[in-house]
Amino acid sequence: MGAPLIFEVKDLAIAIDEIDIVSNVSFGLKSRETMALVGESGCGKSLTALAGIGLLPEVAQIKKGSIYLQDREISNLSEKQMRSIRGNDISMIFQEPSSTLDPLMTIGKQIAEAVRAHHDIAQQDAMRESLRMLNMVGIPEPETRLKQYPFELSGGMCQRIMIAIALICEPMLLIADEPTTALDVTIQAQTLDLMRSLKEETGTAILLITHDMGVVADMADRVMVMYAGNVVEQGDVFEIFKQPHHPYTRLLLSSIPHIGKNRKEKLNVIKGMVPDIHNWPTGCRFHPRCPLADETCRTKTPELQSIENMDHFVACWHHTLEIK
Amino acid sequence: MSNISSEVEMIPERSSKLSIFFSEVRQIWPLCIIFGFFMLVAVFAPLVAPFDPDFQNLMARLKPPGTLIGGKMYWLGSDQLGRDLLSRVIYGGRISISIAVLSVSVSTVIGSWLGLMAGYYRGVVEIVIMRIVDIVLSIPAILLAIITVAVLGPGLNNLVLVLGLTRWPRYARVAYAQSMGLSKMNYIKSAEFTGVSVNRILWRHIFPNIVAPLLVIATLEFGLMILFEAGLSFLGLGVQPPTSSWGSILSVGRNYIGIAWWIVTLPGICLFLLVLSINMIGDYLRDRIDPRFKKR
Repeated sequence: MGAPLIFEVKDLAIAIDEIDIVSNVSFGLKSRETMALVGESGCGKSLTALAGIGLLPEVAQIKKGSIYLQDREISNLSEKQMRSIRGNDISMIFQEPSSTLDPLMTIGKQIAEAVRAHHDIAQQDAMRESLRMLNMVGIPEPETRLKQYPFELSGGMCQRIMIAIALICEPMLLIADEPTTALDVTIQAQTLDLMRSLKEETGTAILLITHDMGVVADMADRVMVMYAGNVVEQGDVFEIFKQPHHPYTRLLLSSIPHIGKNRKEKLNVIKGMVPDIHNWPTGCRFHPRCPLADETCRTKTPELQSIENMDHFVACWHHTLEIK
Repeated sequence: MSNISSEVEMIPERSSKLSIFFSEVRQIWPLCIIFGFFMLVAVFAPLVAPFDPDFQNLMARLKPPGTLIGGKMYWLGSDQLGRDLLSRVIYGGRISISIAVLSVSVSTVIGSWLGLMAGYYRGVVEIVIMRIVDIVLSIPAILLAIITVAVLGPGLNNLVLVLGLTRWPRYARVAYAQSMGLSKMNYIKSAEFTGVSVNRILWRHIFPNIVAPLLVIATLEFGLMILFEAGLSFLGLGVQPPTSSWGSILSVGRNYIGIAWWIVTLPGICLFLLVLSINMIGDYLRDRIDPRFKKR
């Protein structure tokens, strides 16, 4: 498989009150690789990411599986050990950048805080480091910005600051939870460009959580599609956009509106609702909404399997059939 | 047009921290003067007071303000034992202010620290701390004061201790509610996600964000503390005679209000002015602590 994996999740299962929310999730990331995690709200994308950084909400717990950072298992580390990894080896950025910065602390101090949490350096050196990061993320007049408070900056600017905080310790993995959802399209494109160029520079791998297929096509090398806590399809971004195999992925891609499409034509939708976690469907969890479902799907759970021996996996009994 | 020009003038210039400080202070200077005046008088009491506050002259009992006796002017009159009221108010201010400052500090530190912990950690810590808060609130302060004094004996230190230990739950409740809400904010989460230590999160991120309501309580409590001290001294549990405090002057003067109005009025006015100025300075600080108010 070429380069070694720097982050690997093996057979992860997360439960809340003994109810499986996420199960059978496995994936790996190499340096400089971007993997997009897509799926509707509540499909377990964010929980998977939070498990990766060791900050699951208290009610949730890892029931099965393990998480590796390089060759070190991190899913059973103590809170103290995890804290030394967070922000240093694995960082995270969120949506709504302006609310993720402390309103009462200057930008410079907040960036410096991230370095000082992991390295024993003087405040002055940390500030110099912050200045360097501000330059790196392309913020104009960085010296002035250092002394400013978050409310004096725009949303796009705040997201750049967040990226600066996340990358200042040159982490191996950056988890981006819908990093551009709250930004307008222009700023979104700029932010994505920035993340891409910084990734090349620092060698960080990115786990991108999103439900914006445009962002996926723009950023990702590989895509993992989740539905109701399961991985339904995983593979190279070109493969998946060119020839999606799982009916859910196919329907998802066909429901994206296109500019220039005939206006009278109705937009495709996936019928039905996301199933209730207390009442998972038997067999394939997508079967109640799937146009291809038959008796097998209702009773037997499909496993992820490789298609044509390529690096493309799908969990479906009928992935070869056409949807009418 | 006039609107436009006034807006242009309001654009803040970059100036040194000192000049910003003075321009800020100018907006509330009457309050600062009152506050500073009381503080200076309290600190330099022996230099300012015309009499020994405990010096009695029974021939000069209950004289109204401005009476000249034996060549000495009783500016604010004298009390029931013929002591100079001005000197007693000056020395009393010293006691009252220091008791208020100390007990407010004690209760603020205890209360906000415990509240912060309860709100941030939740779980067992929350249950234990907040139940203690409920217990302390359910014990009448006077009862607790009587017990403490019975065990430790009356005195200034014990008074501060009693006031500090009975008044912290108010701070704890506010700090708890505020920090509980804040802990769910994204910026606290992102600090956790960056691997920042818990102590730093508590004191550098949460505390500055909840300091405004705590400050308001502290300024309100400041006045209350002076009154509490008066109440306890009245019961014989606080400042012991002949030492004067505003509270003790007030409570004794109450008996003479019909024939010597000045004994209660003058310390009352001092109390009113001091508490008012502190409350308003506190209000002002609350607004100013938030950097969003710096540029208007």
